[in-house]
Amino acid sequence: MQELIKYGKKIVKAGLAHSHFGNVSKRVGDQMLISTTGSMLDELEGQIVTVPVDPASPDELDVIASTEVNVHRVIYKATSALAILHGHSKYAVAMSMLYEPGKEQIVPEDTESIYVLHEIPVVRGGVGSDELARNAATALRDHKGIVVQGHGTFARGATVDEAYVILSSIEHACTVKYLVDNARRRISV
Amino acid sequence: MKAVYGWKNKILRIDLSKGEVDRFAPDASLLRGYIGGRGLGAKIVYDTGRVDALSPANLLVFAAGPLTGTTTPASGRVSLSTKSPLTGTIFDSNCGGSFGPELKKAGYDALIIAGKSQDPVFIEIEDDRVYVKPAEKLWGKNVKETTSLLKDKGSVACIGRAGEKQVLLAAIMSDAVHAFGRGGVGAVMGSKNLKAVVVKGTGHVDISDRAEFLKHKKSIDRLLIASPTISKGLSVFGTPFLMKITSGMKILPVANFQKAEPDIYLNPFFGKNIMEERSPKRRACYSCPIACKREDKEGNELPEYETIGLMSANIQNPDYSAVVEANRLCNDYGLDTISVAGVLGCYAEIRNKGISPAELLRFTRMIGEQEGIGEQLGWGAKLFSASEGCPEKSIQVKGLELPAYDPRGVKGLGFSYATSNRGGCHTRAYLVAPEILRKPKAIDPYTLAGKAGHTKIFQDRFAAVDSLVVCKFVFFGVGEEEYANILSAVTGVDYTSEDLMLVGERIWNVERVYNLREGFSKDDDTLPERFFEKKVNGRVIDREEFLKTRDEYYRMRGWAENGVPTKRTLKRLGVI
Repeated sequence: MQELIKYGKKIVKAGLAHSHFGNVSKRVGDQMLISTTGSMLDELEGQIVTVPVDPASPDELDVIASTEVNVHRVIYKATSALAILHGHSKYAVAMSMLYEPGKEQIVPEDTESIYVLHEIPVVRGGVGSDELARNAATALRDHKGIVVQGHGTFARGATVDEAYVILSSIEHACTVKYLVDNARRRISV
Repeated sequence: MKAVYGWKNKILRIDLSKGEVDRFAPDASLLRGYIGGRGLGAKIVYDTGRVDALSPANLLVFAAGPLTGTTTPASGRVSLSTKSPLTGTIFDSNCGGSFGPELKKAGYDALIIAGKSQDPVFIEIEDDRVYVKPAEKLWGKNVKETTSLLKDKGSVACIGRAGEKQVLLAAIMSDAVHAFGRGGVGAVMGSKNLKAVVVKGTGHVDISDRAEFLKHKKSIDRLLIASPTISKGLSVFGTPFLMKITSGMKILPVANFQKAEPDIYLNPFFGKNIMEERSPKRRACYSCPIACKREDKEGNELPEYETIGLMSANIQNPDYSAVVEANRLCNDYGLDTISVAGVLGCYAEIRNKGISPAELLRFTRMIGEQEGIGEQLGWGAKLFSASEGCPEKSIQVKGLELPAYDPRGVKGLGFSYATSNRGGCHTRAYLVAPEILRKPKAIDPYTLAGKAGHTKIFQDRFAAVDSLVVCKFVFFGVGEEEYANILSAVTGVDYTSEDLMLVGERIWNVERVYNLREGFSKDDDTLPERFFEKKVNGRVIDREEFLKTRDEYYRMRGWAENGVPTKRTLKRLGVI
């Protein structure tokens, strides 16, 4: 729980999401700790609940867990992830909206991001929807992080720390790519 | 005659003393300005003047709303207004089932019952045909049997033996399992020698713009599905899903609100456990997609959250089956489960012992039968504790026992108990939504900061909702904007969400001036002393902060420092 509180603060401090825009979870066996709906990522003390991972086992606390609780569940079921961080990182959101239809990935420009992330899938689906859960989980079987179009980044890891690295790497990659694309456009004009 | 949509523009009035039945068209401004349901009832009860609650002069006003009888989501509720014999305040209570839609389809916006019959009677309504019939053969029977004897004639609202005996905790039961609970409204019906009202309607409710209506209905349905509180909570587990949440927050009352840690194992009372153990069937009120009611395989109603919360840890009863049976007994005698549990919590504290499962059932029966100690318990916690010489042990506001949320851990909700027009009630402002369930927007439950404004807005909002009459649960996912839109489509009158808020504020002020006329004052807008003095889970309500919040609340309402609405406010709202 303390890890989630610590990284919630780091996400906001690093500008990877504004306070309300995201959620965090950590898997512990067949249960997961997850932030509550409407909670602020930099004030998660007392705002984390424990619910079952199994999507077929709804729990009363789902009501106050993050709206994305089922997305986290399906990702945990489909992957070996032990932590998931989700933030509405602004450059990742912008890049997911700028990309032309049909091209369902963002390809980083900088060497570090190419090395860590390869390409970043862009998936679709409404907030907390079954469609989003399916698409995110499928993409995360092959990638460490994804961007939901017009919404935000999901990053997975074996630890909360690792998921944080992915979350910040995706935002870094998207920021650099946005700046480079912009600069190229200006030069070509 | 100009066409009227939504409303029926007709009120049925029955005087049981004179044996008279008449019908009248209400003033158009009354319907537009108070909408229906609670608002219409409050205005009618206010205009009657001062009465003794159990005298023939007190009214029972069953009022539907303009959406009742349409297929608007969750619009099957109907409101009842009267003066409460338990609290002495103006009182409204609303319940689901099909009584409201039948009343509307019979052609009435409201039914006013005045006077007192010399002998037991029941009222039978089928469209224009209205009969007051002898009820000697029904008198003495409980709710289930009475309902089964009358249900072929229409939807039944009746009292059980508790109402007949004018027990101050008596409820009126609709279709056997839906309660006009709280405030002893069943005793008012009993005082009139009125056993039941049966209503059947064969008409329909005209809608002004059907295409717009269907568009807004679809939009509401979509929002309801998207709401986690509804789709992951109420529709899956029914209201008992709250048990795990409130016990986790340590706001579930324990031992008559004396502590945070229960002496019993709570798991059997959790929604998920009940679902696994009992495989209950879902049951819905008229035109409700939520279906929050639960019944067991035999068709018996299973208890709601408030009943479970207050009949478990609060009285130190470890047995869920006993709560199921006590709930069934309350429904059959026509008793309010919250108040029964509240007075038993008080009794347990005074006697310094918990209530065993067997005692829970025995005391419930004794309250219903007004037997032995049951007679005193049936006075409610305030009078019972005073009769025992320890008034501080009654956990109530204005005589109404508190629901199953400890105000020290949900301070806005606590403040709304204190300022409620009908006493200690969670449904007046329903801050359960933002403080516990984090909807529509999570607010910090542990502070009073900002709660004066929140309370006012939510009180006004739900006064309007109770006048539509729509179930509060839909507002976990839908806003007043959507219901203003559908109200406009149904009635052809253009309502905005701000219009609804203004109606709510008007109703709140009418109720306030009624209570002031009855002698209530600022001093009654408070909480039981223990919430200011005794910490639970490290929390207490700071008295100074509470008093400041109350002053702020009065200012926000446009009331004077003494809690009396100013003339300017009442004029602005059209109350005077």
